[in-house]
Amino acid sequence: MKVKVQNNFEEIIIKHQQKIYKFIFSFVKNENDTDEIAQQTFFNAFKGYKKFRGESSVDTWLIKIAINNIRTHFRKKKFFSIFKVLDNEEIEIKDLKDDLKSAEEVVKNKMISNKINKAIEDLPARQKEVFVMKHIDGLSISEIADILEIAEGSVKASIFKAINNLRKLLGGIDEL
Amino acid sequence: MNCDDVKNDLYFYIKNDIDLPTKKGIEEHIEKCSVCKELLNEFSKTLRVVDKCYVKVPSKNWDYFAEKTMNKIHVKRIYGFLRPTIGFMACVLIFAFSYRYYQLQKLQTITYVPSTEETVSYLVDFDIPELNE
Repeated sequence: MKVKVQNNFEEIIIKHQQKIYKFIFSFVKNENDTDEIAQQTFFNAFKGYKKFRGESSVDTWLIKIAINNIRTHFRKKKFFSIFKVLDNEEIEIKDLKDDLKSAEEVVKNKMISNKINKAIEDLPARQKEVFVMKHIDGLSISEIADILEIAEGSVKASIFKAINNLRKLLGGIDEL
Repeated sequence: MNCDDVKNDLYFYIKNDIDLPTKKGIEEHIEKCSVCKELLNEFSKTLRVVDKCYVKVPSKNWDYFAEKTMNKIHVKRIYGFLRPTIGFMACVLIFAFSYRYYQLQKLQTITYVPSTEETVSYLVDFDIPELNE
């Protein structure tokens, strides 16, 4: 029986790991942390696998577990940041779609890229979650509402607030 | 449609992820409302900027990752209880030592009788014959 559960679960990991990994990475933006959170997500899912009644899809169920682990990760990060004098953990350098021509341009693009990521990071937690899920992960409104257990109207309102805040935070950035 | 309805649907309008009647309603409203029109332009600009900054998801050997995850689950199932157990035992030990130390301190305070002249003279005041002798 145990072996059967284990085999079934291995199939679940193989089927869903890429989507879950991408989902976690869109929030965390760090490979090592993403690895750890993804593994923790599957471990938590394994523990609760017997209780999973199939009310939602496996995808949604795993994303719900992942989002809880992401929240825990950020809480821990926030707590331990008190003890850090300097935050060495820089967000990995983002690639910009433009062709980079000069060193000056590279620096400029990195700065803009960091500013954009910082703006997304600084959004209130709910707005950030909803925005990333919709805009980066491409989840549907109903999926987001199901995962966060809120009304679809609240999802739309959070997206509006998130973009409005981003607009204010990124006001100084000219279009690239 | 009023401004609030339009605001909540602006993102979906920009992304063209909206049904036709709502789209038409937004367009009609925007023609009349300069505030929403300005907001639409600003939102489009913001989303264009955000879209240009994307993070590449690192490529992985997914078979290896799945195997690693399964191994980790296996290890955590077997040894997962160790960390909380060690933590609990450490707490119990710290508490036991602190309590013992506190008790010893208390005992020393009780048994300590200062044998200074002041104490003797104080006791003499009680007129204890043995002490006077």
